[in-house]
Amino acid sequence: MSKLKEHQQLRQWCNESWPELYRYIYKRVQNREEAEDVTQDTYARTLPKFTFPEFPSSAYLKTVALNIIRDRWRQRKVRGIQVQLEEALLVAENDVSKVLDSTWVEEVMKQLSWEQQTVLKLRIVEGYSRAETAQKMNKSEDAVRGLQYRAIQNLRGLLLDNLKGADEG
Amino acid sequence: MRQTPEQELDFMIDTLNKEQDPKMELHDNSAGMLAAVRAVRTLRKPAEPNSSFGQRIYKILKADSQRKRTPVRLAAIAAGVILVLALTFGKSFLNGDVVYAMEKAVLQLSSYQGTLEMSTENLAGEKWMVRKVEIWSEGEKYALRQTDGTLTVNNGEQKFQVRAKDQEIAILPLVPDYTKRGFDLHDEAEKAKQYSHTIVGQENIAGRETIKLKISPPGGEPYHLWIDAETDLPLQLQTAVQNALQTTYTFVSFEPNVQIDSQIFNLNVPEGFKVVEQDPGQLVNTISEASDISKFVPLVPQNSPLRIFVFKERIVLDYGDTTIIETPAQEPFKPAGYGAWGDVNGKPLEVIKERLRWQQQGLEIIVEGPQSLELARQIAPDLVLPDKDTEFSSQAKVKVSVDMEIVKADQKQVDGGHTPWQLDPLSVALTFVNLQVTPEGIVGEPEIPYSTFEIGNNNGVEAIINVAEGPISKVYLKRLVRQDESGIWSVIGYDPRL
Repeated sequence: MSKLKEHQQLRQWCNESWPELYRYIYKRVQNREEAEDVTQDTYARTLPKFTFPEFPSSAYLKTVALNIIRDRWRQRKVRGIQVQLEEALLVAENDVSKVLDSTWVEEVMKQLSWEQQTVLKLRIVEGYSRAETAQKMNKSEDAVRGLQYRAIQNLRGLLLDNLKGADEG
Repeated sequence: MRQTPEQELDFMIDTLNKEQDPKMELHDNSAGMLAAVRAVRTLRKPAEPNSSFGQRIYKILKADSQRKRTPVRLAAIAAGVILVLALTFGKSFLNGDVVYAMEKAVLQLSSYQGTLEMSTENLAGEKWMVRKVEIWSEGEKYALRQTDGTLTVNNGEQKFQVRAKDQEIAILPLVPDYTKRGFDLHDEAEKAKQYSHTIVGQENIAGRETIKLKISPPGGEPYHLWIDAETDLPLQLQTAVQNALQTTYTFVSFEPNVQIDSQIFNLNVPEGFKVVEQDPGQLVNTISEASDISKFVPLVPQNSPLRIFVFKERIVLDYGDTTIIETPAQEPFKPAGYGAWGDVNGKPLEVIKERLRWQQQGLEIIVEGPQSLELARQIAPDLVLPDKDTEFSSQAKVKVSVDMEIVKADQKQVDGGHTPWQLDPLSVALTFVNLQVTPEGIVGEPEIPYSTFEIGNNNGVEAIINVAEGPISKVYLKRLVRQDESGIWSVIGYDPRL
C-alpha cells in the first residue's frame, strides 16, 4: 500500500473514531480539558499495540479510556479507593448506569427542596458564577455556597439510595 | 488552612464550569461530591472539543505509524534522552514533582533521629554556628537536646525539661505545645508546595546528594530548600538575607524511620535533681471532672477528645494535632488586627491560619490545628469563615492610588523584620489619617489617637477601619502583595466625614 493511501486510511479512521470516543469520555469526566487529555492518552496507549492496517475497535478504545480515567482519579485520592458514585460513572457502555442517564438524574433531583434544585440548576446546569447565582436567588454569596453544599450532599445521598434500590430490585 | 468542604465544592463547580479538570487531592467526601457534580452536569449539553483537536489526534496517530517504520532509531534516541534527563535530574525527572515526593515522604515519616545545626552568615561572608540540637522524634513524642545539655521531652503523657546546669527538672504544660513547631518538617513541605518553586541544582550536603529548590513566596525574597535525593526529605533550609544576615538550618545527620530507644522519652530524676512544676495541668477522664475542678462548664464538640486537661480557670481538650482551649471570657472580645474576621452568631470570629478564636456563652474559645474548622463547627454550627471574595473597596468614596513598586519594597522591609506595624490594619489606617491631618509628619502623640480606630470588617484580604473622629470616617485597606498573615496592608480608599 502506498504511503499516501495509508495516510488517507488513517485520517479516515481517525475522523470516524475520535468524536465518538471524546463524547464517551466527556460524559464521564464532564469537562473538556480532561476529556481531551484522556482521548489523546487513549490513542497514544492503544495504537502501539496494533499494526497498520489493523485498527482497534471502538469498544477496545472505550475500555482503555475507562481504565485511564479510573487510574487518574485514583491517583488523586488520599486513600486511593474509588467511591461508589465514581464507580457508577465508570461502568462500561453496555452496562446500565443510571448516573449517566440525565432523565434519571433529573428525576432524583426533584426530590430536593425547590431552593436546592434551583441552586444546582443555576450553578451547575446553567453554569452561572456564585455571584450571579446569589443575585438571581436574592441571597448572599455565602448563603449560596452553603446551600449548594447541602444540595450536593443531599443529592449524593439520594443518588446512592436510588442506586442501591435499583441493585436490590 | 485546608479548604472547607464548602470551598472545595465551590472550586469544583467553578473549575468544571470553565471546562477544566479539577486537579485536586480528594478525600472520600470530596470525591463523592465531585461525582455528584459530574452527574448533575449530565443535564448540560456536552462541550465540544477545541477546533484543532481532531488534527491533534491525527498527528499522534501519524507519528505512531511513522515510529513503527523506524523503531530502532527513535527508540535509541528516546532512550538516550531519558538517560541524560535521569542522570541530570535523577528522581525529580523520573518521579515527577520533587515537592510532591517530599510531601509524601514527610507524611510517611514515622520516626527520625538527627542533629540540626543553625548557622548564620553576614554580608562579609563571616559564618558562625548559632545552635546545634539533637532531635529524636517518634509519632507525637519527641526529645531535643541543646548543646548546653538541656533536654526537652514530650512523651505524650508529660512534657519536661532536664536542666543539667541547674540540676533541676521542670514539668511543663503538655498542651498546647509550641516547642515542636520549631523543627516541623511538615511546615516546610507545606510551604514549598504552596509557593512557586524551581529546581536550581544538585549539591552534596552533609555527605548526601540533594536537589536544591528555590522557593519564591509571593512578593517576598526567595529562599532555598535542599531535599535529600534518596529519602525525598528536606535536609537544609536557607532563609533569604534579612537584616544583612542569612540563616541556614542543616540536618548534619538524619536517619528517617529508625527504631528509637524509648528510654530517651522517659522521665528519670537523677540523684540530686529537684523537680519544679509550672502549672502542668491535671489530666482528667471526663468533662464533668474538668468542670468540677475548673468551676465552669466548657462547650464540647461531638468528637471526643483524646485527652482532657484542667488548669486554673482553663480546660484544654487535646485532639492530637488540634487543641481546644476554653476559659471564662474576662473582657469584651477584640480580634487581632492581623487576623481575618469571620462570624459566629453575629459576633466576630478571629481567624489566623489554622487558629480560630471567638466568644460564646460567656466563654472564650480557641481552636488551633488542622482540624480546627471541623471541631469549631461542632461547637458553633453557624460559624462562617471570612469570605475573601467580598470586595469592600468598591464602597470607598475616595480612591487612593497605590504605587506597587513602593508597596513591594515595603513588603520586603517587613519580611526583613522592619516596620512590623504595616501588618496591623489599625496602625496603617492611623498613619494614613494622621498624615492627612498633619501632612508635615507625625511628631509625638498622633492628633487622632489609636483608640478612635476600630476594625469594621476584615476578610483577610480587604479591611474597613472606622474612625470615630477627624476628617475621615472610614479607611479601606487591602493586602496587595500577599494575602496571608505575613502580608502588609495598604490604604486604597477612604470616606471623608460629612
